[in-house]
Amino acid sequence: MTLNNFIRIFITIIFANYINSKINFFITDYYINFTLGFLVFSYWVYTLKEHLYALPSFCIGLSIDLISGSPFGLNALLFSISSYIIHSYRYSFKIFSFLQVTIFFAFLAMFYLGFIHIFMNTANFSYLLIFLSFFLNGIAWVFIYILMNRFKKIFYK
Amino acid sequence: MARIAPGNTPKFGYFVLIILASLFLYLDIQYKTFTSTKNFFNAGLIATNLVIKNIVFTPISNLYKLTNNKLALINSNELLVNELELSKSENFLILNKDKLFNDNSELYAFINDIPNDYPYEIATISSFDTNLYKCCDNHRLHLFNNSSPFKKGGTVINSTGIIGQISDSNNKVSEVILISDINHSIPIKSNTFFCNANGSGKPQVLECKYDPSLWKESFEIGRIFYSSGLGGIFPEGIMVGSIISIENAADGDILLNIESIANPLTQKNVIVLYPNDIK
Repeated sequence: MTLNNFIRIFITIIFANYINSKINFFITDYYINFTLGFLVFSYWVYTLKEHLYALPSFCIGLSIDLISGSPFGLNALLFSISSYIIHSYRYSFKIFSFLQVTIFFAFLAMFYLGFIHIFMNTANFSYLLIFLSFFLNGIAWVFIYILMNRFKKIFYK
Repeated sequence: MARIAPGNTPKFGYFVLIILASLFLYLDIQYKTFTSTKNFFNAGLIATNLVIKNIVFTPISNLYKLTNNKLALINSNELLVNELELSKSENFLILNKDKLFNDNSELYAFINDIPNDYPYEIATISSFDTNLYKCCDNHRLHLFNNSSPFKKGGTVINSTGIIGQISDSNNKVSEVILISDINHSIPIKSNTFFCNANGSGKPQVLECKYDPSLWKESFEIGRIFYSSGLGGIFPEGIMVGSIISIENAADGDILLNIESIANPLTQKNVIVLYPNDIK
């Protein structure tokens, strides 16, 4: 992977994370949360032929930890684990339908959100929020997949 | 879920980096090892934002405004808005004295206690992650420093009341821990009842837990609490909030949920007050 491509990927994830924080401010009261940054990261891991392995995942996660003010290493850990899981299933995905893939990534986003809340919102941890966000992130994955496919065709070389 | 198909995923790299990330996470949560790194990064980010805004965006914006001959009007409008916010903050004690303090003597005592030469400092909020404020337990914001960094322990108020206290400072910015932060505690009182109200991690909600065998007092929804001044950080007698719900805790204690009247989302200008022994 070239440095230019890595920067493009990084910018899309940071941008999605920024949008995510702006939207979540308004919807948290309704027990739902997006994980747009994580879903965009998952998209890149899922679709790239040259593979986003451990080190880029770790670096992107660490940068998000710095920017978002979450405990240092939390996103790095979750991004690395997610990258490993997605890579482990990359051949299995070929026999999955799009609906199955969507459910897989909705589950992954739900676990990501759960872990984030365990560390950052321990006193007010809400199972309802995690459960409802599963559906929301499933829907978000469909839109992200379509949007990022277009983005990839235009900007990613 | 289908079985994992054999692939050539490099397991060793993942193993090492997952261990490393876990170590970082442990060190940060247990020992706050990376707090200075994060503060340094935040300060750099805020300073960069400011420079970019002043060098790039403001001239472009001004140019546009000049072409419309509205620059003076817009500037004076911005100035007036800022002045109004500052004025609101400065006068909040006086404007709300009837309900904010138990009685007028506490207000006068409070005003008399403030040294005449340096009663307070006015500050501007430099960054406030409102998403973290809504979603998570840690409620922090950052202030631009004036000529010198704000001192730890300074009480931060806006026109709605006490919002927090200075928890950390560096050359560029100072960190404010809000009273609703899970790690914050403010001594409060209501008549003869005293307790330490801990932040609940929910916006504007504090929790006060007490043993009913020790305090015979009964409480009702809407009962108002004031700062007790114990601890010497927060001034005594300022209204903190009122009870919104009363719960029985699992260990037999009673938990009072108190909604703070102060809302940190309302203004970008705040006032930092110092107790006598700090300033």
